[in-house]
This record gives sequence, structure tokens and C-alpha cells, in this order.
Amino acid sequence: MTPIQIIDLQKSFGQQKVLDGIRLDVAENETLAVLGRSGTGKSVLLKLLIGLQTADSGSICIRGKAIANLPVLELNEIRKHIGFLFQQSALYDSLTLEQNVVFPMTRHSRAPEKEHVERARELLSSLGMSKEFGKLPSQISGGMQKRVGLARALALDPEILLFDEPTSGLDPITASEISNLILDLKKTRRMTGIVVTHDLRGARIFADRVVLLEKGKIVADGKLSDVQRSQEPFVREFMQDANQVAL
Amino acid sequence: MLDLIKAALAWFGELALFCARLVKAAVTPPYEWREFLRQCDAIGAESLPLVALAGAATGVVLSLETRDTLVHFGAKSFLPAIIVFSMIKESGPIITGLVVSGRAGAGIGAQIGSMKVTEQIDAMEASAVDPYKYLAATRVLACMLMLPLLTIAANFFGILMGWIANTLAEPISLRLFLNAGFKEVAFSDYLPPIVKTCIFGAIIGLIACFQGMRTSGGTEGVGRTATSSVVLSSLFVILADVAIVRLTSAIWPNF
Repeated sequence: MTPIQIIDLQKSFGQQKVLDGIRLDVAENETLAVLGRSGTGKSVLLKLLIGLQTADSGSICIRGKAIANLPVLELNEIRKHIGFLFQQSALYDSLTLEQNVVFPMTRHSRAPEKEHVERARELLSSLGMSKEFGKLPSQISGGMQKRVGLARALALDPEILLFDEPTSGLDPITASEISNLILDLKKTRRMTGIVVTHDLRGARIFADRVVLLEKGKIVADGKLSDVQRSQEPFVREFMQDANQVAL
Repeated sequence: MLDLIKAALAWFGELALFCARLVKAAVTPPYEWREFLRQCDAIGAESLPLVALAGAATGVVLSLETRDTLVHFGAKSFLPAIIVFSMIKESGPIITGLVVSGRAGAGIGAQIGSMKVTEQIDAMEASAVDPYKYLAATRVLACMLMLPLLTIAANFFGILMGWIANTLAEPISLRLFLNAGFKEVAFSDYLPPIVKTCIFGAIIGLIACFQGMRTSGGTEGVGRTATSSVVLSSLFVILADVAIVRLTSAIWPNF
């Protein structure tokens, strides 16, 4: 069953149409990079996928189940299978890093808390955060916060991962580390993922396929190399500019 | 003017939907006991010094202000009873309600508002955790439980300081003061104020959580939420007090 299926999705904020008839399928174990200029609805697309916002029309199916109008309890059952890394990490600022990762575990599993703590430490260590368990989010750098956010997104062993600008605001080295982490996750966990990004260099590392959004529509869809060869004026211009930034 | 009425009606409508969702979240297991106890500590223990101080000051003022008048009418023996009845029935509950709406209401509004604008509440929902259960229900219930306890503390310090202020003017033993003060007090005198403070707690918690959950506009929005939480919860506490006093006197005419 297709993990993610989007059919004729429409979303407006007031008079501004943000998504206009998006149709998109994401295959099993595929990592899709969603590219586009700021304000083209990329982050909105991710929030619609996890039910944080509701679409005006169209449908989103996660493993064949339409999420529109689902009661909260049923929607939460689907959400347990989806991990979400927020653009600003969105870590709970009153909890330590370890508690941030343990938080979703304790609410969805009856295992003893000690097991959750061990698992959280394993996850944090696997993402290069083995010494900072007891620190608060405000005491670590932006790159570290992304790693903790990623550990929290992985806490429930999701089958689908959604990344909202995972490398934005990071220096090139840290951005590259995060991109490689996404690639590692793809290889080791064989997860399906959607990555919203401006970072073409990152997309080259982890994406099996890219789509380019402009004015709420998909204007290019395919392998990155194919999209880069597109003769469509906007696609060419975007790719040239994105390449220059990536260089 | 019409826009203002529309906005007010929309606000009440949204508040009603918020209450419905909160009640549903609160009664559906699993329950967030640990967070509830943490909030009881945050709201109760941290508000206690301020509430005690406000209660004590009220007791002193009651004693000083009333004493001269009673002496004038030759009724100074009523002073202990006036202090006790005033603290138990009205001054204790309303002072506690207003102090907690300032202390805890602003804190709850600002904390939830800050979580809203930094997407922490979205992150909670994305993790399949209901923020209405974890954040709102725990705080509202903690306010409802802590307000009566804090009111008892305010009453205690008010009566104690009322006695001290009275003793400084004209020495009287604590036992005699309490005997005179509580001689006419019955259990039915305690019950309506206790129920009233639970309602005050619900108002403070609900309005602060509701305002927090609808915060927008970054740090400026968080500031607005903190202010509106205090202003609205204080206003509704006062209005509820008037309504409850009217209702109580209709149900228990002798109260």
C-alpha cells in the first residue's frame, strides 16, 4: 500500500492560495525532497500530512487511510507512525534533552520508564549526542537541537519521517552532517520520507526524487538529475540559483 | 461597535468549544497524574507566599478599619466574629482568586503561549499527545484543587493577623479571640465559599489556557497573552463572585 498519497490538495489562507491541486505519491522507502521558493506552501504541505492543519479540499491518504475529518484518537493512531522534525526543532524547553525524547515514548508504551530512558539515550548517542542527556534545549547549539529533534521524531519507531527544513540556519558542515544523518536513516531504517528543503546540496545526498513547487503547483517531478536538465524556464532558473548557493 | 460584539461572541463560542474539548480530554484515560501534581506544586506552593501575605494584610486592615467604628457603636466585642466571617465568606476567596489570577494566570498564559509560538504544541500533537489533556486539563484541575487550599491559607493568615492587630490595640488571648470569632460559624458557612473558590480556579485555569492556546505573533503575542489572561480571569472572577453571592443568597437565605 502506498505510504503517502495526495490527491488534488487545495489550501488557502484568506485570498492567498497556497496549495493548488497537488497530486503526489511517495513510494515505500523513498525519500522525496520538496523544493521551492519561500512561501510556496512546502511547510504547509507537511503540516497537512500530519493533520496539524486541514485542507480546503482534496485528500491525503496515509497507508490507504484518508486523514481528513478523522477523530483525534484515530488521527493520533496514524501520527504514531509518522515522525516530524520541525524547522526550529520545537524541543520542549522545560524538559531536558533526554526527557524530550522520552516524552512521546511514555505516552504510547507501558514499558517501564527505565527502558524508555535507555532507548532515548541510545537514540541520542546514535545521533552523536552522548554527553548532553541532562542539558536543557537552551544550553545547546542549533545543530544539536536538530539532532535531538530527530531523536524525538524517531522515538516511536515511525515508518514515515517528515523533515521541515532540516538544514536551515546551520553552517555548511553541520548542514552536511544532518543531510548524511538523513541518508543513514534511509539506509538503516528503510523509512519513507519527505524533506522540505532549500538545500540542493543536501537533496543530492539523500533524495531519491525531487518535486519543485511554485505558486502552489508542482512544476517539476523526478530524479534530481532529470529536474536539473529541465528546459522549463522557472525550473532552470531555480536550479541555477540553487546550484550557485550550493557551490 | 458591531465588530466588537461579533468578536466577543466569537470569543465566547471558541471558549465553549475549548471547554468541551478540554472536558473530553480530562475524562478520557490515560490520565496525566505526574503533570497534574507538578502543576499543583507550581500553582499552589509558588502562590502560597503571596496569598498568605495578601490574606495577612487583609486581616490587619479589617481589624484596624472596623475596630474604631465598632468602638464608636459600643460593639467592639463583635470584632473577632466580623474578621472571621469576612475572611471566610468573602475577603479570603476573592483576595485569593485575584492574587492567583495575577500570579498563576499570567504564568500559565505566557507558558502555553510561548509553547504555541515556538511550535512546541504542534510537536506535541505530531507525537500523538493531546495538548488539551497534557497542558490544559492538568492546569485547570490543579487550579480548581489549589484555590480552596490557598483560600484556607489566606483565611488562616488573615484571622491570625487580625488577632495580632487587635491585640496590639487591646490585648486579647488567641483562644478568646477564636472562641468569639468562630462561635456562630457553622459548616454551611464554609461550603459555599469553598465551592466558589473551585469555580474561581476553573475560571483562572480555563481563561489562561485558552488565551495561551490561541496565541499568535511571536514574543509580542506572548506578552499580550499574559496580560489578557490576568485581565480577563480577574474580571471573570469578580463577575462570578457577584453571581455566586446572588445565587447563594437565593438558595441559602440565611447565608
